[in-house]
Amino acid sequence: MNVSSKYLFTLQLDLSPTLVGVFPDGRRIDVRYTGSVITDATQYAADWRDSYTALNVGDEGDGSTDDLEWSGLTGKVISGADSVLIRSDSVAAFAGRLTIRANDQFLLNTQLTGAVDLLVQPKLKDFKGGVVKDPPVTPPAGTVDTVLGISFEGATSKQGWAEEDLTQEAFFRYQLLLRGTLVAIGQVKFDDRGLPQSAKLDVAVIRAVARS
Amino acid sequence: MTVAKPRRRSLLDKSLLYLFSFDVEADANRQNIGFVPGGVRVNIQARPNLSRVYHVLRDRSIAGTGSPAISGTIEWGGDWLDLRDDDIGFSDVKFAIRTDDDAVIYGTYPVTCYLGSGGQRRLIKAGSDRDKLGTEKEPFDIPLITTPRFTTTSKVYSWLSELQCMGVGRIRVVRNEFRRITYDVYSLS
Repeated sequence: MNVSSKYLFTLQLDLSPTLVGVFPDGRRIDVRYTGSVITDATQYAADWRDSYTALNVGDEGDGSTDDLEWSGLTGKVISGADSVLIRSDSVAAFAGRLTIRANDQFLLNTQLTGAVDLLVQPKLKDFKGGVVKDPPVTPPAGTVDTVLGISFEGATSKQGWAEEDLTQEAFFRYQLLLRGTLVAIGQVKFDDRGLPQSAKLDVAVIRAVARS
Repeated sequence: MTVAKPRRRSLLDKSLLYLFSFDVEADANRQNIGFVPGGVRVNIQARPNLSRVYHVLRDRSIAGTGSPAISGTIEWGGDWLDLRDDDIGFSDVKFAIRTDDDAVIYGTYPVTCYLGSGGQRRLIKAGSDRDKLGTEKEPFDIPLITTPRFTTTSKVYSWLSELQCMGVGRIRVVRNEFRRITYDVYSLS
């Protein structure tokens, strides 16, 4: 399989965690999210300049998400919540829901899901007090590398009879977010209580072609 | 030879034990994501610390069990609501209760509710206040029945983690705004 990715934007999240408690399946942490969204100009240029040019020089494409354009995203995470489970086998399971308001007021309903294996983190040996306990239910303080799945939902049509703020429509600008297969790659920072404090995640669209 | 099973002649009789109630004051600035395939997506947040959890009779313990009654605030809560084109609402609610004695109880429940004939359209229709659903004097109530589950490590309230609960409630709508969500929570006993 050939897999490639293209950078879309960076999600900078501030997390407000509350420890619910330690249960048989692990440590459950209530998290509320706020933060910001910005497309880094350098990364955007590196991933999109060539393909954008190709798209506009006679390549009509095949109608897949590969043909969708991307012009960046800037906005805020206006709300969000998660119930993070640091499992007793040292895997952190995320299932977050966030609402992003783009600067053009378009709202994106966002789901951030997946698991992060804390034991295979390359930086684990550098963590403060990084001895893994048995059962290892508390991640050591520091940052952990993270790859999560991310998906978006937004208005795909508009109705003139509806309330004014329901008349937004994705048009071309956000089609890639609504239709693409996306991942969020970055780091989550944990404090010395084992609670996640912040996350910086680069969101990318994945293109995968099966070998024939 | 097969033996015919005897026909059941009784119901699986369960009775409801009242546990507590809660009122969620919804944030007036609901997040209208918009028209998505199949319906309209709306995200609603609870107004932090304005939403109360209480025993409706102000009892200090749960009748019959002696477990301590629950009193506190809803520290945060979110409702990810899908108002479907067939006038059925689906949502996924998550919230955290902070009790008056500082315990945290995490709650979650799914909701399926009927919005009434043409209810989806009426809830999101533009127009004057006269065209909108519910008034201050005559609010429009959407009935709700749910199956909440709670999780806590507080020793005082650990009994709640063991129960499959049932919630009977309503969403109060005034001029198309979700104002207050009220539930009575029971356990099946």
